[in-house]
Amino acid sequence: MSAPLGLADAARAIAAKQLSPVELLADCKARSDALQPTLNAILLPLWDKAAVAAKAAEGEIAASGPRSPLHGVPVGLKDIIDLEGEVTTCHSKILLENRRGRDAAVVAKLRAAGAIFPAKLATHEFAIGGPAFDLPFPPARNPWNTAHHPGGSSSGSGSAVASGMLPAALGTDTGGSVRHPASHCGIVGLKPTYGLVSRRGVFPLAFTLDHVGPMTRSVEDCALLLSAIAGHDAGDPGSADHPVEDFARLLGAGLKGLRIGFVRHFFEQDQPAEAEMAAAIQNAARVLAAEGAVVRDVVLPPLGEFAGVNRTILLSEAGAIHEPWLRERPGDYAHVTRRRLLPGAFVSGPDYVQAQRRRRELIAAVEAAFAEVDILLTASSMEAACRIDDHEAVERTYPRQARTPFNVTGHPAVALPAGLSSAGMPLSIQLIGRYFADAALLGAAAGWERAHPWQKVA
Amino acid sequence: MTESEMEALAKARGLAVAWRDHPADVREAIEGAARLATAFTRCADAAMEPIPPYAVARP
Repeated sequence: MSAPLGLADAARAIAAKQLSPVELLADCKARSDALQPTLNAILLPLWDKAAVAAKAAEGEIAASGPRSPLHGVPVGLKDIIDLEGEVTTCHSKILLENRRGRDAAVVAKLRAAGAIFPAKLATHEFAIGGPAFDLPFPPARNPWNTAHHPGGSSSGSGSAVASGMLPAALGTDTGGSVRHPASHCGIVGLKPTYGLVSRRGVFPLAFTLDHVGPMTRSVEDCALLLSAIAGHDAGDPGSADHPVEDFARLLGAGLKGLRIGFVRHFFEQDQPAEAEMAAAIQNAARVLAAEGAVVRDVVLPPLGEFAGVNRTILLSEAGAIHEPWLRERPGDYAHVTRRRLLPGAFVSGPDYVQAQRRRRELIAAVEAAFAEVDILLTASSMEAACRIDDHEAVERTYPRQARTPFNVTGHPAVALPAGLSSAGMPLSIQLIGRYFADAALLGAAAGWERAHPWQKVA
Repeated sequence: MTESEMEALAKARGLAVAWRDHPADVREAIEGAARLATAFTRCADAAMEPIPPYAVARP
């Protein structure tokens, strides 16, 4: 089997009439047939319906050319995102029959761009509880080593894209759930600026922290997918009235003169990263400087402050969403989901407000840093993926990350591959941009990609 | 907090079923929520308003 095509390469081949959407889908399905039995990335296969859509796209492109780079390209959906006529189970027994009547706003945008939807993808239950082995569907596995955790909660999205089963997928990110699987699976995962991408039709975890984001194998693919899904939506109270833009326009901007703030203390003092991960991040700072960026240390409030605020807000808001089920049918959740959701029932109202007050101060601190630099560099995960069946390691490593700060502040943040550990598992870095400077952030990410090309799953 | 206090708190929060069927999870949740009360620094300014819902990232 040849190397899988990414979104941009597939779009170019389709536009040049060297590849048809039918052939592209068949290639994805062949990979899925071979890999799904060990990866469990797909929760709901929709290949037959996708084949009909691919045939229609083939005819339309032959007649009048592609509508967009997404036309005829398969995109996977984390199964908390609504797809018209299909169930959104949230990987849970509780919503097994939750058939949805309309597309989520992001799906409607992708559908208008011509994308095809061959699968709903595995997730941690309700985007919080996993990996779990006591649910109706098995947890997704890491394609680099199927004994390992793929990260979560957008675990199926990470696994399907990294393995080449799909060129792109959507995930969601409330405390790092796009960037965690991206980091562990060696792909690109972007949490856009809060409000840039609509969440309407996406089952919420925590309203004021939730984001939808692209997961792809290259930065260019990420930019194309973001360009297709971004835009104001009056149906989402958190949506920002920000002009639609081409997020690929700065991919060639380069790193020369870019001012990068290096947030060392997150992974050197606050949550010390494993040696290989720390070395990968420090190497990234050196590589970026060698490419012409001006890298200097930046100090933000301690990582624990962000984590405490994120956890208090997340648990309170999730506690409100899940209150009826936690009261009436707590046994229908996976054990890990129940354990993670129940504390929200006991967070006080004043603690929630205190967290939202402290959030304001933390935002001000990060904004002050951005007065001096263009981009921040720090860790995403503090270690490579552990074994999926090692419950102690999963619990210990889950909070060891530097992703939650940017759910708290809403700044765009992208996880990027940064080499492999001695055990052959992906290492990662995280770049963070200014509000609504997602295109500039992706430009910096593309600079890193060119300077330090990453390995794909063999 | 004593066992009976935890039970009363759980029931006050409507979690009688969870307390009956999953008491260890409820105990852990109460202890975890209590730790959150000291998980971050409180604002020094008593009059400071919280960030309005959905207002992060607004220029």
